Amino acid sequence: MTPEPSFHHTGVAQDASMNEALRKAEAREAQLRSLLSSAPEPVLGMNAQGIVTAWNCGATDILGWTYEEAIGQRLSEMIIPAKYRDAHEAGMKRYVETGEAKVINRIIEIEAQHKDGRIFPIELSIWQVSDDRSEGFGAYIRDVSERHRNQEVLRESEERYRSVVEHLGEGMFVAQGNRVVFSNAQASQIMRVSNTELLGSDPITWIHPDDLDEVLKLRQDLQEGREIREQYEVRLASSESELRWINIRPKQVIWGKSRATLTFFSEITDRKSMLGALRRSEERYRAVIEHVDSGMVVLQGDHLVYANRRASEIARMDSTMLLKVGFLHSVHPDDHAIILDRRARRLAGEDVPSRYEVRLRFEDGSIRWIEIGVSVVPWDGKPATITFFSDVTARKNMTHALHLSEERYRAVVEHSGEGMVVVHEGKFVFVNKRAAEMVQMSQQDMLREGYLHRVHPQDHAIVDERRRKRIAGEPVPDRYEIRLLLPGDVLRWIEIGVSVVPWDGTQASLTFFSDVTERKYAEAVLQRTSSEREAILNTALVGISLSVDRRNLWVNEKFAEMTSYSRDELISGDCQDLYADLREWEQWGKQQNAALKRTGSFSQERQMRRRNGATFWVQMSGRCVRDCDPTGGVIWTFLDISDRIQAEQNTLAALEKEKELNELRSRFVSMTSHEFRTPLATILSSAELLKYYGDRLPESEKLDVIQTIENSVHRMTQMLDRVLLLGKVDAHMLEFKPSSLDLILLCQSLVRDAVAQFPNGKCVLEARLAAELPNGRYDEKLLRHIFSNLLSNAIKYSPNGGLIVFDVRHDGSKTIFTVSDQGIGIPAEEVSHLFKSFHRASNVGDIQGTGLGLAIVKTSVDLHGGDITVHSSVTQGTQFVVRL
Amino acid sequence: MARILVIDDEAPLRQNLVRFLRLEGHEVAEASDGEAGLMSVRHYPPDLIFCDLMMPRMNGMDLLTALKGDPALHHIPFFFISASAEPERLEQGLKLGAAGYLTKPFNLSQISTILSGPWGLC
Repeated sequence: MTPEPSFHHTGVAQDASMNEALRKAEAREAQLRSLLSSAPEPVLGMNAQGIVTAWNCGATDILGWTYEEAIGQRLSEMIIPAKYRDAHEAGMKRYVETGEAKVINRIIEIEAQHKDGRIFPIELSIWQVSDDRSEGFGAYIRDVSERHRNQEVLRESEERYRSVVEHLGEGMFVAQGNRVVFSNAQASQIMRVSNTELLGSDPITWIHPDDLDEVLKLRQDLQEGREIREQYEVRLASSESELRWINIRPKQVIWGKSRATLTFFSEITDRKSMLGALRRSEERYRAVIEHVDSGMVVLQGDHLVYANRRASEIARMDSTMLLKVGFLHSVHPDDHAIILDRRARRLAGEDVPSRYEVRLRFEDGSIRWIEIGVSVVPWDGKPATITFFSDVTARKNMTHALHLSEERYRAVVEHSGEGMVVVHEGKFVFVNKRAAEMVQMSQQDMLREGYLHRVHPQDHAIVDERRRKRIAGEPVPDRYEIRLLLPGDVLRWIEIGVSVVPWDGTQASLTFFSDVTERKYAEAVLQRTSSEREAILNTALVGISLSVDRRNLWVNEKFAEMTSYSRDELISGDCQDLYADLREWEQWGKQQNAALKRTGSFSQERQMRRRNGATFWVQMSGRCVRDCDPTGGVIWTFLDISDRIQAEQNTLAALEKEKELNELRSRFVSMTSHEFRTPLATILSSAELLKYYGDRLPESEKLDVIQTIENSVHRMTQMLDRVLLLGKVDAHMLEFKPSSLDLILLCQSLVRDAVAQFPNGKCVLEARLAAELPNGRYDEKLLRHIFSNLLSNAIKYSPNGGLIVFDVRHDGSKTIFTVSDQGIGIPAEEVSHLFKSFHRASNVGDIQGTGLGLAIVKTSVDLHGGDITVHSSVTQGTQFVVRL
Repeated sequence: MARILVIDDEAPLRQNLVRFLRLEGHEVAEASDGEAGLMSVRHYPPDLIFCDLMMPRMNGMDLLTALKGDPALHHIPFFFISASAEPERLEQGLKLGAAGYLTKPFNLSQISTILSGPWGLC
């Protein structure tokens, strides 16, 4: 039994109340001591001086000292290792003196010393027993050696793991709640980011977009506990162009007591890219082989180990079938032997042709030709024969067709009606049957000897000349005719045509012969008949020509006579000369060409021109030699119809004249009606005035009225005279009766008469007569008609007066009479009608007139063989010039 | 008594007409062509017009057309006195609105008939 420790210092005051208190305290102390001694944990007490006052068996257990040994000892000397003892003493002292404590009421971990001297870690908590610091402390101790040891082991273990993890050849990270909570150095290296960046990120953000779906699925599978593959290959998201692959191996683990995903990963880009390259390369080869136009099979031993698509097509089997039954199955039975023979010899090392053609036969009985090429290659490390083959049926057929075609041509050429020879590099290389027949030689002889010796001696020169020129590259006609002189002195004409043809890759001359002897004879006969016909045509009474492209090839004598050109001129010259001008020639050409094309004939009356420029009328008719084809020549006939045309024109002129006369008559009737009715009206009214009002009229006015009667009668008489004069003119009764005349005297008399005619005239009439005028032969009556009219007109149409000049002079050949006034003038547009009967200018106004005067003037001047001209301007005056 | 305009380029006949009409007690104006006639009519419109057909400057037909186109003058009775032998022209004049015509030569009594006729000028 362990003695009860005295927890409290003895020496408490002894009194009654104190006794009670003491009893209670003793009781509590006993309780505490019992409690303390039965506590499993080591507990000890000490007073303020550091002397042990309490010690339970727990303390004995861990510190080695028994209760008896420990009570009364200095605690520090007993359990505190020597190196801490001073600090402990100092701390105690400070606390007791100042109350400053570092360790009170805390658990601190310090080292303690066992009775056997070993030092071990303990956990220590110290409490103050009562408010009086001097009363001492209690301490609670726990041996923590075991724990320390465990911790050390763990720490070491962790360090080992860490080292392993950090030096793992692979990247690794742990993610919790989709955030990286741990990652190793290799991980940052692979990801090419710092560890800091990696931590806290969502691993999914490092994955290539194309692989996101797969990774998300993986994540979900992991979270839901589904089975996942051991590893995945995915690409990294990267801003770099290079595509990087990683291999990831995730698994669910517990990390810090909760679930986490631990993922190992390593970069596999290199492996990936090499595989990719290999695969691509293989794909390329495969594509080439599959799509090559040739079939290809690889044969190893007796087995087909490979056949491409084209091979299947050619063999008309799918590739599986082809590999199973082999290619030979499709080969024509007749060709099996050759294939098997070749193969045996090839394998035996013999040098056999690597290309040859065989036939394939199909179930439907059709045959295809294929060309085969064989070579020996290594295949999967072992020798194999690789056979290429292509379908050459089309080529075979074409060759066959060409062959047939050539035979056909040869047959045509051999049996041609024309002779043909080909000369190549100076040698006869081909002669057909007909050519040999024509020169009466065999084909072989002709090939050897040619045919020049059959040519008529007189034609040798032509043949030599042509040949020389052709060789020299000079132009030669491609057709010409020569004579052959055949055995028995038989003469034949042949026409030769030469053309250049390709021959064995170079050029050769191909000569055609046709026998034209018959034609030659026919031509000779034709020549004779045409001469006879020409003689007939030449005596025809119409002009005849044959023209092609508007050039005369032939004209008859009559046509030459009509045009006054020679026949040669008409044939060699331009027909154009026969027309008025180039434009007419072209226009007419179009017109007749169109008609000839349409109907084959054309007929027209037209004017042509003789050599001397004189024109004549012809009725010309053309007819095409060939139906409606003027280019083949047109035969024209020309009938001179000048006389008829002349007669027509005369008739037309007569009609015109008659029409003019009718107009004149109509003008005459209307004018005379007016001109007679007006004075008649004056006379009648005057007579009635005098009759009914005579007594009421003053005498002077009566005389005026009587005078109007007289004047009107005079006017009518004068007009009648003029009308009669014009009637004479129209009836050609006005005669030119010249006599020797003194012009000056006559002119003076005319001026006097004119002035006297207008006693109230306001004009000054001046006669400027040359001093001497040659006495000529004039008709005085006509001169009087002319100048009395001109002078009285000048006065009449100058109502406001002015100077009138009558100028007469001689210019050496003619006498020039000029009458000029300053009167009202004549409107320019009316000058041309001035000399027509009954014409009066529009500006005459009240001035009386018949419109006959100037008509008489003109007629008189004409009768005199002179001419008259007018210059006039309205309001300025008029000038008439008469030359006689 | 009426105011009468006589238009004729033939002076002796025109003077005879004027004499006659004055002797008959009318007020008479005269003109020698259409233009002068038109001016006279506009200046002092007469009760009746005698007008020649063929005249210089403006002929009788043109004058008639001008008068008929003038609302103030179109009512004036208009008679042609003409030497024309073309009755169709005179018919045309009637169509244009002439009241009638006299053909030269005419009797003065024919003038009197017109003046005492339906125009009731006397």
